[in-house]
Amino acid sequence: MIKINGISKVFKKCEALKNVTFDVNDGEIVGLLGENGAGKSTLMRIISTMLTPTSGDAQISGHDLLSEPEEVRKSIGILFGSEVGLYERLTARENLAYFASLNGMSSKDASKRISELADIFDFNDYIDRRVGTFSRGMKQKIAIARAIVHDPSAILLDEPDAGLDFKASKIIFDFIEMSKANNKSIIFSSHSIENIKNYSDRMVVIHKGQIIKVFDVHEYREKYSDREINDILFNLVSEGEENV
Amino acid sequence: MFKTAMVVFFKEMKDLLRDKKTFIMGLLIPLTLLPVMLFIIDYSMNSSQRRADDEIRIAVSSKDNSFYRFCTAHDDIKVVDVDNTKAAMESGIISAYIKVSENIDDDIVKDKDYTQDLDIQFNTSSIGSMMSTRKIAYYRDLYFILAQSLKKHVSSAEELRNMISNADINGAVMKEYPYTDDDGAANIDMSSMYFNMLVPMMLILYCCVGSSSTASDLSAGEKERGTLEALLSTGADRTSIIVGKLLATTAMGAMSGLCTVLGLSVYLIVSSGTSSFSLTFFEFLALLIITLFTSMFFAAVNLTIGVYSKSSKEAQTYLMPVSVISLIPTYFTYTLDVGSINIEYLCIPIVNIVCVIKEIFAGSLNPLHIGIVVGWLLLYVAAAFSLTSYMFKKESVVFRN
Repeated sequence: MIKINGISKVFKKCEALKNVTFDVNDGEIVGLLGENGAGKSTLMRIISTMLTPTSGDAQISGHDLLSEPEEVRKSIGILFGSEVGLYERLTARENLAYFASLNGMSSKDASKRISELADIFDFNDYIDRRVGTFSRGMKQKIAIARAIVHDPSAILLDEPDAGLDFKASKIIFDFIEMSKANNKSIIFSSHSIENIKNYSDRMVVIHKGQIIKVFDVHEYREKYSDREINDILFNLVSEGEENV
Repeated sequence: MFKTAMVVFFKEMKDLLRDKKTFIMGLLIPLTLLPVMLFIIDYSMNSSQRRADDEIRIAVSSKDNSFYRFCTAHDDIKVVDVDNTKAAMESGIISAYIKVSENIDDDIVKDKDYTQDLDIQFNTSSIGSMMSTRKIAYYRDLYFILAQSLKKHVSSAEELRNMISNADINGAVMKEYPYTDDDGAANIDMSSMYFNMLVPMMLILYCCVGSSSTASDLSAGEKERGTLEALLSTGADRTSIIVGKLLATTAMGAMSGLCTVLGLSVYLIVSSGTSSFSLTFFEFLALLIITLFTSMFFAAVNLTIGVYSKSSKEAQTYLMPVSVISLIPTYFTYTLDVGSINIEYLCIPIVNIVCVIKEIFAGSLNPLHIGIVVGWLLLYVAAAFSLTSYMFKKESVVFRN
C-alpha cells in the first residue's frame, strides 16, 4: 500500500508539487495523468526517495519515506520515464543480476527471478546480448524487468509504454495487470489517455503540481461514453478544469 | 556495506574493461608511451653525441694565434668563418664560439697564466651545442697540455704557432691522452635530466588521467545516461555505492600507473648497460606502493569532481585543469636535490610524491619518507572521500540538473 500525505516540493522558486495526497491500495492500479511538467515524475522521484519532499510524508508498504528510505527503496520498483537506466556494455542478464544483488538478492534467487522475467517479458532470445545493441522497445522491457527484479510490493512506472510498439506495449500492460492480480500497489503515468483509461482502476489528474481530480475509472466508464471520457480528460489535463 | 561495495566494484570493472577507449587510453598508451619517449630521447641524444664527436664546427675570434693553428691541425674540428657568431650558434652553423686573447701566445712563451686566455661560448638552448661541450673541453685541455710541454722548447710566439700545428707532435699527445666519451657520460647527463623530470611527470600524469576518465564515467556519466537514478533507487546504501566506485576508479588509475611503471621497466631492461638507471627489488616495490596510493589520491579527487558535475562534458572541463595543475609540482621539484628533501616537502600534495620518486631513482630509498607520504596520501583520500560521500547524499548535488 502507498499512502501519500500532503506532499509538496519546491525547487528554488518553482513549486513543483502542492499538497499532493492520495492512496494506492494493494492490488490497485493508479494512473497518473498530466501534461509535461505537471509534476508526475517529481512525485515518482519523491516516492522512490530520490528527492526529499519540502513538506508532507508518505508510507510505502508500512515504511516511512523520510525515516526509513532504504526500506522504502527495497519495497519499490521504479522505472524512470525518459531513461531506461541500463548499462549498455553489460548484457541484459548482467544488468538484471546487478540490480538484484544491489537489492540484496542471492545469486540463486536472482537467477531464478531473471528466468521468470525473461519468460514474462519474452526476452529469452537476447538476454545474453549487450544492451547497447538493443532497440528502444527491447531496452524498455529489460528496464521494467530491472525495476521489478527484486519483486517489490509497490511498482512505480513513469511512462512504461514510451517508445514501445503495440506488441511490446501489450506485454508491459499484461504484466501490470498480472502484478495487480499479485496484490501489488501500482502507480503508472502515461501520455496515452487510452492506456491510462484501459489499465488503471483510479486515475489521478495532476495539473501544475496539484491534484485536480481523482476518480474511479470503472464508475466513469459506466457513466460516460469513451469519447466523453476522452474529452473530460483532455480538458482536465490541458485546462485544469472539468467541462462535461 | 563491504559486500555491496564489492558488487559495485566488480560490475564497474567489468563495464570499464569492455570499453575499448578505456583499454587504449588507460592501459595501452601508458604502457607504451613512456618507454617510446625514453628510447627516442636516448636515440636522439646518441645521434647528437655521435654528430658532435664526428666533427665540431667552431668559430675562433682571431687566426693569428697558436690555438687557431692547433684547431686547424685536427680533422674533426672545422673552424668556420662567420660574421655574426650569435646568429651562427643559434642557427646551428657552429657549436661554439671561442674568443682567444691576443696575448695568448706571449703568455705561454713567457710562462704566464694562459688558461684564462680562452673564452668558450656555447649556445645553451641548443642540444647540439651542449653535446659538443665535452669534446671541445677535451681539445682545450689537449691544447693546454701541448702548450705546457712546448713552452720550454720555444723562444718566440711564432715558433710556438709552428710547433703546435705539427702533425707528429699532435699525434703523439693524442696517443697519450686519447679522447674517450666516458661511456657516454655527457649523454647520460642529458638523458638523466629528462629522466628525472619525465618519469615522475608521466607517473603522476597517468595516475591522474587514468582515473579521471573513469571517475567522470562512473559519476557524471551515470547522471547523463540516466543510470544513476536506477542505481540510487535500489536498496543499496549510498556510501557502499560510492566506496565501490572509488575502488573501481582507483583500480583504473593504478592500472594506468602500473602500466607506466611496467613500460619503464621494459625501458630499463632493454637499455641496461647504456642507461645509468636501474632499480632494485625494494625500489621497484616502493615505486609500486607510491603508484598505488597516488592513484587512490587522484581517484578520490577526480571522483569528487565527477560527482559534483552534471555531465561528462562538465566533468572533463573540471578534470582537465586537475591534470595540468598536478604537473606543476613536477617542474617545481625538478631542480630539487635528493639530499635537500626535508619533511616540509613531504607534506605538500604531489610535491611529496615527486620527492619520493626522485629518491627511489637516485637510489636513496627512505622508508620513513615513503611512510610519511603514504600517510599524507591516505589523509587526502579520506578528506576527498568524505566530501564525495557527503555530496553523493545531497539531492542538490546528485540532481543538479
